Amino acid sequence: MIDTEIYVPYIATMNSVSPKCQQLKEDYDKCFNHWFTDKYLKGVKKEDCIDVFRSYQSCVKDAIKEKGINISENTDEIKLT
Amino acid sequence: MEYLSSSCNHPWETVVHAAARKYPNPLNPNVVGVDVIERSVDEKSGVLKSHRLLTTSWGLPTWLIKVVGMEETCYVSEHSEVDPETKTLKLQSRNLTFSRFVDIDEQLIYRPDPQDPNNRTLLQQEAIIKVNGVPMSSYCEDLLKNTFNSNANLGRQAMEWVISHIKEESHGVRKVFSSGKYSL
Repeated sequence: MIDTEIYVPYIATMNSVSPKCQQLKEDYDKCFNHWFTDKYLKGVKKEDCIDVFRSYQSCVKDAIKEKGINISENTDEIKLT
Repeated sequence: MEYLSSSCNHPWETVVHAAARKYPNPLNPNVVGVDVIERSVDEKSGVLKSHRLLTTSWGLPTWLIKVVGMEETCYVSEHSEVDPETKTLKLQSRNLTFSRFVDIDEQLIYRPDPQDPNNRTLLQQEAIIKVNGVPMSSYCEDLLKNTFNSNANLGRQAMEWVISHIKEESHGVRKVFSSGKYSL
């Protein structure tokens, strides 16, 4: 018998609102997480991931329309004070 | 409702990193989907603004859904702002489903704790619940405050869980089996 510890990489994934957007979401999240922690929080304001975001965003907006989710909100009530 | 304040033992940057990757976590099993609807960095202020859609599922049995007529899948709209200059993270979320009946508007603000700004982060949170546009008060308020407090506690535990896993991930690995005796 051997005392041992087995390690595996930790991968956290979350679903998209539609399976059609899942891969686009994972590609975008990976890019964004890297940019956010390694660049943005260290002072780099220039955005990365723009192309991959546009593809993902377009898919999400189509899915939202298909599902009839109403995301338009009364902007007066959004108060991040 | 009043602000609920709490402080945690992590620097602000760690907390913001965890907030961006809060889901999935075992303390919020009902959140099953997260999508970004809009996101941009404001050119003048450098503030990162995001609008996200959260998909939640209550895991209700099918028969109950049919009897009660409830939606199994609900949606929440979340707006957030990250300001690395002032070290402020603000989040506001509101339900999209059932909004004809009830509005739950929750706000969270994370800032460095003034008492130990390099090592601790202060969280202020508030939930405003309206039924048919009328704020809830009196009879239900205590009940809701208790629920809000226990959910807020779950939220803090969720963040601690995410932070600990991100830290392990930065070492590239996660410990799966502890020192039991296994033969290979």
